[in-house]
Amino acid sequence: MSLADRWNNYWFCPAPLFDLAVVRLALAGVHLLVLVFPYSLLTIPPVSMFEEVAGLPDSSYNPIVIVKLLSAPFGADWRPTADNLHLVHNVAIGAASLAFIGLATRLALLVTVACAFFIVGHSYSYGEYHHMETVPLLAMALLAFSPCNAKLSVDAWLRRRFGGAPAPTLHAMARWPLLMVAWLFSLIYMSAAVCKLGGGGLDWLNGYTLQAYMMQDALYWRTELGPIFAQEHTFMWLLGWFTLIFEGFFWIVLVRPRWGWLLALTGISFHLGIFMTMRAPFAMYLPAYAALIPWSEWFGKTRATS
Amino acid sequence: MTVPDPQPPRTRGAITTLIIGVLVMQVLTGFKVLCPPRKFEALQRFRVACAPTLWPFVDYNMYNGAHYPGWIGQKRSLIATLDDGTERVIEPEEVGLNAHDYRRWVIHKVMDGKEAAARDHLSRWSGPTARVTALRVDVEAWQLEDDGSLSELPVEHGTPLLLDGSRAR
Repeated sequence: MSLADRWNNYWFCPAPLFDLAVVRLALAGVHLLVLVFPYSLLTIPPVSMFEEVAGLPDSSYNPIVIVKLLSAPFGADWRPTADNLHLVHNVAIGAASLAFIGLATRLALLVTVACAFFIVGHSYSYGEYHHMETVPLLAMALLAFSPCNAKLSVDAWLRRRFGGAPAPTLHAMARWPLLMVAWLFSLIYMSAAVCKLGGGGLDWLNGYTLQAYMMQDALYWRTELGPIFAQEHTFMWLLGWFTLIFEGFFWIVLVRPRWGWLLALTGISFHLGIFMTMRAPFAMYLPAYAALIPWSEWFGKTRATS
Repeated sequence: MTVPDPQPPRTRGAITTLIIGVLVMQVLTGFKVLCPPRKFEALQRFRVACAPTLWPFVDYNMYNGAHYPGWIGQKRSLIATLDDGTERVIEPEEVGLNAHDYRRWVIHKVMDGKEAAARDHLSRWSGPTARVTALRVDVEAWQLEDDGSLSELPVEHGTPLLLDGSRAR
């Protein structure tokens, strides 16, 4: 088998469209939730800072590449006002609603992601940046290039309503976006593990390290659970090992996709635990884990071809 | 119906380019290939795009240093002195703020002696109606001990910011 055949078999092997649709619902749904209720999952949502950052002097504004690209039609020196940002936020709510219900789905996803890139990217153009939106936004951007509207969408209903053929159960373009989410998670977690070992060496696993981080964030965010767990040295020592093993070996999902649901469950527990003790708002990652779960098998739709 | 739609090679080619592009970008940024740490002096010429320049492709170097016994964590709280002499802690939610904004907009302003800003936030306090005569920031601290316990250190009382006795409601 040639390399091209192997590549095509890996990325473009027919897979259930239903799985793709569930992932779209999860990602667009949670994104819509955060747009409408910013504090539901985020501690410092960009939407809460429009007036503040727009009021900063021009000298503090250093637009990142994605913001420069999206602002290009308005000229190189254009800087959005708070009103501009509110307008983009409203467009994002409309687009995310369409992406969720599946009407003009792929265009709606592209607009949703472009708005999010602009809003979040703008807030990161003043020096400080975070990571909590990266995986879900990249996943939604990739979904826009897939037949994610073939099932569980108004688009699919309209197609059937007006005499179009129903979508097939399996599709050659249904697998690559879900695999990409698994690849992104694997690379991101691996780089996080490498950074921890690079920054702290094996001392990162001494138990004191995680105690200090948990206590520091718990005191800052005034969580009730954080200080309770941070006092348990042995538990923190075990949790440190668990964290590095989880992050460093998440790539197992790429060679054992059947374990996806287990890793998804572990990852969801991991991030919820971090949120409850340290308020690190990685809950936005949770819908992306839907890409690791064989929904169609669970719902008895079909068995994915391997 | 289980027959997949045949995809033209051009579509696969475009998606293949997208897949490779996204993965390469994530590897370059995630593993700091375009932004080697400063401790590697010989690699500084490759430091061309540090995060967040290429966001949403970024590195993940949070919580990456090691900590040891002796580490000290602090919690800063705003204390109101009422006109009857009693003291009350003002919690973030009592002035309608989250912990981050509470620290930025209230704690730091009181520490810097910014009376007007402190009074502005105090006007939103949902606490007792008694008048506030002074505000100060107390620092509670905990130290990480060799045996893994966290011992509480004596509370540091900040310099009171005296108000004129009226509460701007």
